[in-house]
Amino acid sequence: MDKTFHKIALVGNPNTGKTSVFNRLTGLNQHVGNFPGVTVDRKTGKMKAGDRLIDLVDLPGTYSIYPRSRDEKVVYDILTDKKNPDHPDALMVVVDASNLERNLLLFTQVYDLQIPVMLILNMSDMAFRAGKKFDHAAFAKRFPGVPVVETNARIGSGMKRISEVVASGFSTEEFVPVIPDASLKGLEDRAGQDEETTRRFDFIRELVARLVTVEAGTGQSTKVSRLDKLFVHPVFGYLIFGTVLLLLFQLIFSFASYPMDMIDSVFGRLSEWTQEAMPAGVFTDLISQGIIPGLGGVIIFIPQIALLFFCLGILEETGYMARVVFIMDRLMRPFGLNGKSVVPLMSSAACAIPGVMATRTISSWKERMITIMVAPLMSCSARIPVYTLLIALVIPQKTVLGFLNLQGLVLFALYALGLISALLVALVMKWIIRSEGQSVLMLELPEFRKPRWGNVFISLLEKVRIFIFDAGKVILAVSIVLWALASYGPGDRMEQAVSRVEQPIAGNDISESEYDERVASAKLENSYIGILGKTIEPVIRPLGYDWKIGISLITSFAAREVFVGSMATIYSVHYDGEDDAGLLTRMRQEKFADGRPVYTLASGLSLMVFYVYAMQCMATLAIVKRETHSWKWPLVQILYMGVMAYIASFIVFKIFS
Amino acid sequence: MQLTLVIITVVSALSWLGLKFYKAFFGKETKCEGCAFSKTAVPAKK
Repeated sequence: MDKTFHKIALVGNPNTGKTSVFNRLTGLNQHVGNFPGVTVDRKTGKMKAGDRLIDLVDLPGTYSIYPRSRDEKVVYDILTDKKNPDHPDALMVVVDASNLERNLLLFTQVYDLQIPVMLILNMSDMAFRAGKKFDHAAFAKRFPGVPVVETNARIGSGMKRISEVVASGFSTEEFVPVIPDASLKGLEDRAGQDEETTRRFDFIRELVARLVTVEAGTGQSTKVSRLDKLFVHPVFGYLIFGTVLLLLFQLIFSFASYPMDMIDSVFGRLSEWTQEAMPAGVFTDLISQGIIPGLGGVIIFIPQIALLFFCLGILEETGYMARVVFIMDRLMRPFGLNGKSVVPLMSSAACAIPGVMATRTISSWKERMITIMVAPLMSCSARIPVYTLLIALVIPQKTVLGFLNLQGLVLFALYALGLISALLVALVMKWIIRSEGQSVLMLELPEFRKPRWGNVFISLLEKVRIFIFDAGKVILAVSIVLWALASYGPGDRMEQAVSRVEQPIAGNDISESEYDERVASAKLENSYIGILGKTIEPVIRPLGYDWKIGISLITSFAAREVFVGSMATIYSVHYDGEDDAGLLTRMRQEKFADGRPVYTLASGLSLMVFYVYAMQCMATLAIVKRETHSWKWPLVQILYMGVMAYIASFIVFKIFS
Repeated sequence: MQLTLVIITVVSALSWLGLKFYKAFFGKETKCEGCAFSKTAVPAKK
């Protein structure tokens, strides 16, 4: 038999470190595409084996060869169809060495397909710490010709050995089937699949008893299980999670305010300096009133974004977030969201895009649609700049109950409102769109461990970089267009409006500064953006907003955080006070024509609630359209979320007015 | 001169935004660039 491989596929259960092994073997020599006909990521790369380069395909994680979702079906199709272009010459099955009993099901299934296979015992360090020893000789006796390599992909150990084994080749010449009379079951034959799986688990239990010996006195498992009893407890689990979130938001407001004030002031001064240093003209105005304030609107939120992702990174690294997913599953079940909906919804707390994409693992179409529909209600990180700007504007900086920062408490409440609303909407949708069957969440709780600070900082830097360069580009472009629309108007309408402003002369009590303020207002109100804003003002007035807020609501349909950049640009063009005043100062001084302040507790809270509900994200709508292959679902989403946003904001404004 | 620079900048910004909108809804590839947490989305091949 030819032992030279050209294409090898990596398979394994989710969370076994399969992708880490793939990354280690291929390095930067990899490519992300998709499997033909389905929207499932296809990672391919080249690994070095001796003096040859071999194609390596990272197949989606699956617990069994019999699929329960679209990405798992990819594995079934590729492995069972020899004509499939991705069908490999050999397989590497990555298993969690500390949990062989569950992981070996997939191994025995692919072994029986008679494809040459290698077993990779990953996370061998954890198995070692748990006192587990693998008997290589016993395994070789039962599975002759199947090479076994112990690895720890976190630090890269065992990778050289894999390359050596691949270079020397392996085969199925001495094949001894696990279940001799079993043939591959069809996708519809659930009963046959279940019967075969039960037989395999019986075999695996006996096998593991022979292969794995556990040394006594490791102690760590007892400690972990005690901690887990607390973290996933039906009452204390939620209390602990609530406290963690509350502390997180307290931190954000306590520590981030100092660098934010500094950045705000620096950009105010930079704007003033640009105006003075550059030759007078419209391009100078564009830079000082459009580009710099727009950029400042992005940069100012870096401290908060960095602090949030630093804390989330630590929680993720220690293994606590897996416990959160576990308790959220229990919380969501009564609302009809269960099993595999949990991970997409938790992902949506960072961004709805990966959340919507993660619904691909949900096998029930109706359950998937409901999850997609409610995912954008989870408070994503794009809302943070909007929330924090408005909270700083209308919520006083004071302590409640002796130790809680009121601003942090409001941010916590906004996140909670998003989650509760998502659950309630899911309940209603479950009633409207009846679902057949329910999916089950299979989740492995990783051991608690010290955070790897390198990973925390790399992830943090990546998030900040994306915020500045990706979100920043949109905000900058919108700021430039807004500045133009705010600086020019149709015909001589702006000039006529200015000529109608009463001048400060003897006999009236209008001061020079008041005159300048009225001229700036008249110009802005008669600019293109002013005309548009005034047109929509009657619709948003019942919510407590003026036309300038209305403009920012429109521009933030591109992305929620564009709101802050738009406000910065509009107030920069209009503002006639101290040139280096920051955005917050300018917004605090904003008044309606009758002298009432625009930003009160009522209008501020109303605006925050509007952003909890409104579907203000073009990228999410686009991904929903792609994932559902229809315009219907994004339209339904924008409509129901828009109606909810309007009604809820109206109620909040009326209550607090 | 300053007006020319303004026109070029504004037209470039508008065109870029329009292209982004087109790519998001009708293009072959989409990427979340509107929020602080980006992931590449690879659509199905027809």
